[in-house]
Amino acid sequence: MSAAPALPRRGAVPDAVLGMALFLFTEVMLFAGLLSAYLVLRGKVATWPPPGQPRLPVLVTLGNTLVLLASGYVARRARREPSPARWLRGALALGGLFLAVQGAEWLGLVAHGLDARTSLYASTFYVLVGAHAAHVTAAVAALAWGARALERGRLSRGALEALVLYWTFCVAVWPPLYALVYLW
Amino acid sequence: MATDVAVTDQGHGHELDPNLNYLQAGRGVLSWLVTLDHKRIGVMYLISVLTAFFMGGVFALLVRLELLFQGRTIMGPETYNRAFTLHGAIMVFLFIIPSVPAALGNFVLPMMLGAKDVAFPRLNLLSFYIYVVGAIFALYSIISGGVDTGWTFYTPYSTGTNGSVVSMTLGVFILGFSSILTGLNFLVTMHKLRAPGLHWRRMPLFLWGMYATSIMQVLATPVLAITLLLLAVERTFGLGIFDPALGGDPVLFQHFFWFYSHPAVYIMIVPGMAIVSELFATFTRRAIFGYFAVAMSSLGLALLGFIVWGHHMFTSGQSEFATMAFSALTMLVAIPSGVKVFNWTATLYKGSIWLTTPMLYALAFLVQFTIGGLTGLFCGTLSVDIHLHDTYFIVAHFHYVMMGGTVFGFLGGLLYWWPKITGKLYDERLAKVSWFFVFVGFNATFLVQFIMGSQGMPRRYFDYLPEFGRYHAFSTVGSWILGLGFLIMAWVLVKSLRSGPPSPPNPWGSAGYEWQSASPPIVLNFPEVPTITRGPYDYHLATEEELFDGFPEDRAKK
Amino acid sequence: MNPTEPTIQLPGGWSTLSPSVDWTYYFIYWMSVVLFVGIIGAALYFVWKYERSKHPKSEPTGHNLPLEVGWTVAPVIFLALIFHWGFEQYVSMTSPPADTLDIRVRGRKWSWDFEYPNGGHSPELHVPVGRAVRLLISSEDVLHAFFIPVFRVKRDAVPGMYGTLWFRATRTGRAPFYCAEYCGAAGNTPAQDGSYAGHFNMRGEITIQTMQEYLTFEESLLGPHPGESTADWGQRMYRENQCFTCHSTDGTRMAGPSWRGLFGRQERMSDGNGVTVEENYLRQSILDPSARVVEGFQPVMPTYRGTLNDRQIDAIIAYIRTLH
Repeated sequence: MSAAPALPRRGAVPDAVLGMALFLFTEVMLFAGLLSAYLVLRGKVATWPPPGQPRLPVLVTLGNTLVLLASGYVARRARREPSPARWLRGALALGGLFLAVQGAEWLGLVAHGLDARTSLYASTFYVLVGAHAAHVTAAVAALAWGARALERGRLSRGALEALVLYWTFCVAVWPPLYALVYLW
Repeated sequence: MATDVAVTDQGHGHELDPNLNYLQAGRGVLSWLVTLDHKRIGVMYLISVLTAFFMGGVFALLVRLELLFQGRTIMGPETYNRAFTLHGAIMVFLFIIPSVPAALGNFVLPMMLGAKDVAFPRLNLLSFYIYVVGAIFALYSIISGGVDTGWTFYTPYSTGTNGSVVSMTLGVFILGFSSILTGLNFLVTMHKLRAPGLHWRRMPLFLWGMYATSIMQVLATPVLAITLLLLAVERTFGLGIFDPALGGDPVLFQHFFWFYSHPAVYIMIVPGMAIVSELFATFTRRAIFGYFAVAMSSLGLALLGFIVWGHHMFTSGQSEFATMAFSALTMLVAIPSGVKVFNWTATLYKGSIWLTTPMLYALAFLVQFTIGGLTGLFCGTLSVDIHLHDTYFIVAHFHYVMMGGTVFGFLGGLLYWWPKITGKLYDERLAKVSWFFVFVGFNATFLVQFIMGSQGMPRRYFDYLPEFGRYHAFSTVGSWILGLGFLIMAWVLVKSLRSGPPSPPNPWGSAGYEWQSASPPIVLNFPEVPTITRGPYDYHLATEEELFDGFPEDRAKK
Repeated sequence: MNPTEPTIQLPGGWSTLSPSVDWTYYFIYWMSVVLFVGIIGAALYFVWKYERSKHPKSEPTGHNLPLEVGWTVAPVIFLALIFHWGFEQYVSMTSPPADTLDIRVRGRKWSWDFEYPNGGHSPELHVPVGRAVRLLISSEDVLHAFFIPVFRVKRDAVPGMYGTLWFRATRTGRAPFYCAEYCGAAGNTPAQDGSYAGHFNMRGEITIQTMQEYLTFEESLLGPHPGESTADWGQRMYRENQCFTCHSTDGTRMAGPSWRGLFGRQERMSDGNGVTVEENYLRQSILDPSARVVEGFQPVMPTYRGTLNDRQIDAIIAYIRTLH
């Protein structure tokens, strides 16, 4: 491309990271919207959870939260380690474990009769936790793709940073969700 | 850094001569479908949004025709409900929102920055295809029975009614992603790819408008996404988030919907204002009066856009405190809007005004946006809005802003950049004739609707009381004049494509950066990286001849 | 306070609140006219004066801070003023006095039902002049909105929620009321009288009368009109409750079975059982419509429990019996 020399790019932040950071604003608005719906609906009812509804598995999910946090830590370490692909795979495995436990938990809740069609309690639970799970699933797939691309030397520094940033978001948004949905 | 540049350059075709004009570099349909060139993507968007505009326009004419006489004129009430719903949904989601940013903005924005492309060309192409997929969902819902919810999809009506509500909401959901990705791409581009010397104070006002718009697209659209997704889930699986029978809250839907859709109103109008600022500068041959105030008022509108959604719900039963706060905040919108109108008017002062068709569209924008803005005061004032809410007054008000504002701005911009995009001139005289019909037709259609509305005619009515008959007839005749104007306009464009004389690089003698390129531009926009040494509106630095031939200081650099 | 005459912009103002609302409306209107003429007048003058054949070289004026600050700040005063009036009037609109006459308003696709203090129901809205009237509005299905232009009031009817509005009429007469929140239509096929049902037809006329006339009207709701036979009364119920939206009396098939020849007929239910149409089946179909639905029809009818009393149901059955 000698005919047209490359434009100098401004600033130290790679494009991919800036783009991802802006995208996270979108994600924050999405979860903020869901949470505000949850709070509004919950504010209208005197007792929560409503009587007769199965209780959520607080302890198992606490353990699972730790798994997810660990995964986030491992992913962030990947940025500074000499073999980032292995660390990404580690984060990927932990993220996968989180999803598996969540899935098992859902099956259990469905079996216990937590039916989204009959109770608002169940609807909001499935919608909130489901939205997070969908994001984690997408992020885990992205981690798998990223680890592979890294091994083949086809992932730029900026793209790795952006990927880890996205995973950090998926991890960081979970504890507040857990606190509001399971603990409160 | 080197990798970034390589990514940008891919798909501009290593095998192609980058000095060819972008229309000739690469032939055949495939070279368009896989292009990463922002200009070609812009043109593909342009074709798509004009198609959507045509469809939405046909539905509008059908709606008006039905209302020509009392009782049934050409269709039954259910068909009528579908017609106005599709008119609204198509116009809002498939036409107006992408019209300026995705179509014209894609073409112009990198050129105004002196850049070769947007920051993420692949993402840009992806947003186009996401738009296409969203449009296919919307078309599917039209073919498979249509939607009769109104473009607002209010629950619980939308959860219970027949028709393809789910495919339409999914379509709008997908279109939202396209909008988010375009906004994100533009923000990164504006931050990272400005040519040397192009600091923020030299950014053309069009870009300030795009900047404000992109922020709103990134922040507001996800809320629409979850709202529509929840609606689709509620319809499909019977969840009860908005269903009062299950403890849900139908008013919550309205809050969510307007939390997006009010910013969306500014996603629609701010780009129109952005174009008009460019038109005023070029055709008055002077800098916009109060450049900084005009730039900041775009950001001010973006900010206010997020905190006034409740003014769509004054009669819905939200709390009185909320109602009061939303009314007060809504009043504030008048301030940045007023700043723009006053500054544009002051820009005419001591200008050298060239009344081209784009400038006529800009002046019409000024007239109609002033009416749209002033009538907004009626709607923002609580007691008056109680009477006017959901009447034709509201219909007239938002058409004055959306159509009289944004669409007129879009048409002005389309004609203004047409020679740059196509490399061809159009017939100015015929274009002025079409402007006349569009201007007269638009005002004939909608001015009378203010009176209908304040007299108490509710909107979305298939039939009406006899006392409204003459107003409806007048409005319908106006819509025919408007339709005629658009037909002539279409002919002007087709004629230009077929036999228009080739355009010089800068047919308007504009000082704007994007005009300092060939018409049509070469693949990489500029033969070399431009260095910006002057503002985009520094008309005082050149004589009228130099404006057309190239600025003295731009030439000195070569 | 006196009622106002209609103008080109506003219908007559017939409530104690309407004059102040109209005053605010016209204040904004004249302020807008002055601003519009000022801005667009200046713009057109500049276009004429500085057209490029007369003014070939522009003279940039840069910016002018006092002017810009001025036109940013000056509107705030007007905005604060109209906000204040609007809010003040809104507060009086939403704060009814203590001694209101309360009427329950129920919206459903596509008619309104009014329940008066004595328990009588009617699709007609009658109110006494000079007395504060409070409407307690709700919906049985989707969103509606109750809108009376001459009183300048409007309120959404939201399922699962009550909305209120109040007014004190300042003159007698008849004026339109509307549904202002979109609520669909009954399809493209007209009823037997050629009319269509839908959002646009969810309207009627409010009758404002003297207290004496109002009380007579309210009393009349509880029984047949003087000299009216039971079957005729039933026919009136058919009309007033808009049964014709779904049931024809000439054998035409609509959303529900036609009433012609219905009584005594053998019908197959959607669960396969057969039923002879007699008093008990009709009564159940009115009070609990989805319990036994005739095969080939959708269970779309709303219940009329609480809308029709026993005597009225008897009257409707008597009317159906006359339709051979």
